[in-house]
Amino acid sequence: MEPNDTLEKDQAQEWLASLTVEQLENDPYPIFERLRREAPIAWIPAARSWVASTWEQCQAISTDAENFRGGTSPMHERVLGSNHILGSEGQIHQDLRAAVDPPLKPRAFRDQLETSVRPTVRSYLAEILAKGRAELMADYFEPISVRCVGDVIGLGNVDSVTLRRWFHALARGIANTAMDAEGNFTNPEGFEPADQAGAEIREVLEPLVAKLSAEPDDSALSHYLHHGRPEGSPRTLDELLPSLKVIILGGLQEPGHQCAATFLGLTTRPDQLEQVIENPNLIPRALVEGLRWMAPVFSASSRLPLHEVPVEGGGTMLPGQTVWLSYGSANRDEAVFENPDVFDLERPVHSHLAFGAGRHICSGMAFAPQVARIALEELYAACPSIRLDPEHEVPVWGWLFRGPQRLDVIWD
Amino acid sequence: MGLELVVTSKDMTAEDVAVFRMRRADGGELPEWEPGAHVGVTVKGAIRQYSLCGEPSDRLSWRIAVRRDPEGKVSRDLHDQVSVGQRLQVDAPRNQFPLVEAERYLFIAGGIGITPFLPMIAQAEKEGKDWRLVYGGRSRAHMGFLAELDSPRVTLWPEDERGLLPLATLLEQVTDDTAVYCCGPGPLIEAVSRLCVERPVGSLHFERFEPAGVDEGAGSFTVELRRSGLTLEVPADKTLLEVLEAAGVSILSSCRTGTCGTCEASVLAGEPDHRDEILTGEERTNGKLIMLCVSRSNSPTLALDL
Repeated sequence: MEPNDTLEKDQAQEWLASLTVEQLENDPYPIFERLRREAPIAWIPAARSWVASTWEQCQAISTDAENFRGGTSPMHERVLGSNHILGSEGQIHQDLRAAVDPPLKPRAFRDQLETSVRPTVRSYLAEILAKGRAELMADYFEPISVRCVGDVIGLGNVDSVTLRRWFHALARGIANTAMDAEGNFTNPEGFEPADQAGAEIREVLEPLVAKLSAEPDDSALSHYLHHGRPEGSPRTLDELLPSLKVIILGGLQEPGHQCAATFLGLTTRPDQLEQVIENPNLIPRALVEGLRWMAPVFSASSRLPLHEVPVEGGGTMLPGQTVWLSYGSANRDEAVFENPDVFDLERPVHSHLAFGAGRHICSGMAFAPQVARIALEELYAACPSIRLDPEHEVPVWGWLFRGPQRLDVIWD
Repeated sequence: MGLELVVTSKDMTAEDVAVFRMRRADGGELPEWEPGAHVGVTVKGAIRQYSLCGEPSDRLSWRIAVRRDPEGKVSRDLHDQVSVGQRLQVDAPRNQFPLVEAERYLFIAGGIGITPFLPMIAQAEKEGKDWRLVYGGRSRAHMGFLAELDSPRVTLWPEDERGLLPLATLLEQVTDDTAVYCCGPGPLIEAVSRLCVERPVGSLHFERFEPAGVDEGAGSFTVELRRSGLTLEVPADKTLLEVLEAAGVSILSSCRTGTCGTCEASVLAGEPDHRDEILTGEERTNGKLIMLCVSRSNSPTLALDL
């Protein structure tokens, strides 16, 4: 190796070693831009894990069943429990998917969009219209999201404030990545809200599951319990709980965060926002671009190497180590998208990785955008002059999950 | 679900045609296929169809040939960026161009349209059928697989030496018990279809390989919306979904890339050209459902329940 190469390599190592989780959470884009250029698969010491940042690597690893198994992490195991749907493979995974997927297929939910989703959206809209102003995350996007997904999966009896608190607690628990060199969590109290939420989820689900085990109905939860099982022998709550937590964590927040990313993206393009308000048929396209521009599950999808996997450019991924797939970064890969940092409705049709790829692709990839579409349709129709409140900052945070934390808006 | 295959060889068989051989990373058996089958290959999220052109009895490796189309991103990437040892996402084989039972076969190939015929003539030969292949191309240098086509039953027809394929003469000689197969660019298919309408033959089977279109869209077709009474043209550069949206037909959609399944519609007549990743093999064969965002039509007209 030439001395210059060594020097460059040392500098690169030094840069990676000095990266902090806070830097990633506050402004991941310049960091990921450099990672894509210099180290498409990089070991990030602060997160004690590998991060894949390019489109090519994220796509390749997400669809590679030979070298990687479904993702979990010490935090996932800690917060969700073992054998959840994300981390399982083979027959267990196929069974879980066969149980979880059907109620979320367009054929199953299509009829509910106008009879159930739109009325829900309108009730939250009426509340913010009555107030005359809104913080969209807390007042509109997230409540709609948790209510609509909650209803579909059979949590109709749990109020949306509780559902929202649950997913925030679980998400913060998963993002509590800080570990010392031995792999011990350095901030164990960071898991307390998630543990509390986990206990509440179990408490709520126990009677529901007991009832549905004996008397199946047409809810998704009932389907999860009985699908593919001999009559009278449904799945147990313990079998399902880790995967249900995945759904509460991932499913409940995603439609709302897709709305938020799209809403924020459109504020950067007033001309395109105007087009969308004038022609609501453009909303589905805007939502696709919103997901590309700011993937809400930014890097929180992961895989685990099944054996030693060498990394081009140096290093080896070892069994037990987590490899985060940064779909948020892949969606801004210069090799795939022109001017990737710009929100642009006019982009040529191209797939994005916000829902992942391969056998672990998001089960809600069809349902979430429909909830999001209806939420934005109703909002823009009722408040065509809606805009960010100049009195408030828009804090955007996170590198595992990313999105605006508040969206204070005003309208005439 | 797709397969992940490793490229084990990549060779040029003509000036702009690369031949890829692929196998499973674990060396295991691949799904069975029959002559005429094609597979979808995904490169950087875009999927394109290529005919399998190896031996169906070879269960360990598959062969495809890709013509480099400077306008087509996938073919360009396959030519310029994919090398031996790399992995490709490949769908399970589907067959919309199967070899029917017949006494005689006339295969008419234009350019890269030769590929599905390689396993077909091998099978016809094995079964002792009376077959003939007429193979046209721009010049010998642009025509792949010439070394494999050394048979008195094969007529090569390089355009720079012999002009356009003598289709009228060829089809005039066709007997009622001959199955005519044609594969190649749109204009060739259209010329053969026209001649066969004028002079019906035993049976005609075709598969369209658009020169610029295998990669970027395909031919145009007409869509009839039976419920709303609309008839619309879908040009080669527009998707069915785009045409329906522009006509004000309300369609639920989301991903626009054939992966989420939201824009599904029912087919009442015509043969869909499925390009999505949702429908199962059985659903494809039944031809009753279509994903409007990516799929097109093999028949000139497609009637939908919309």
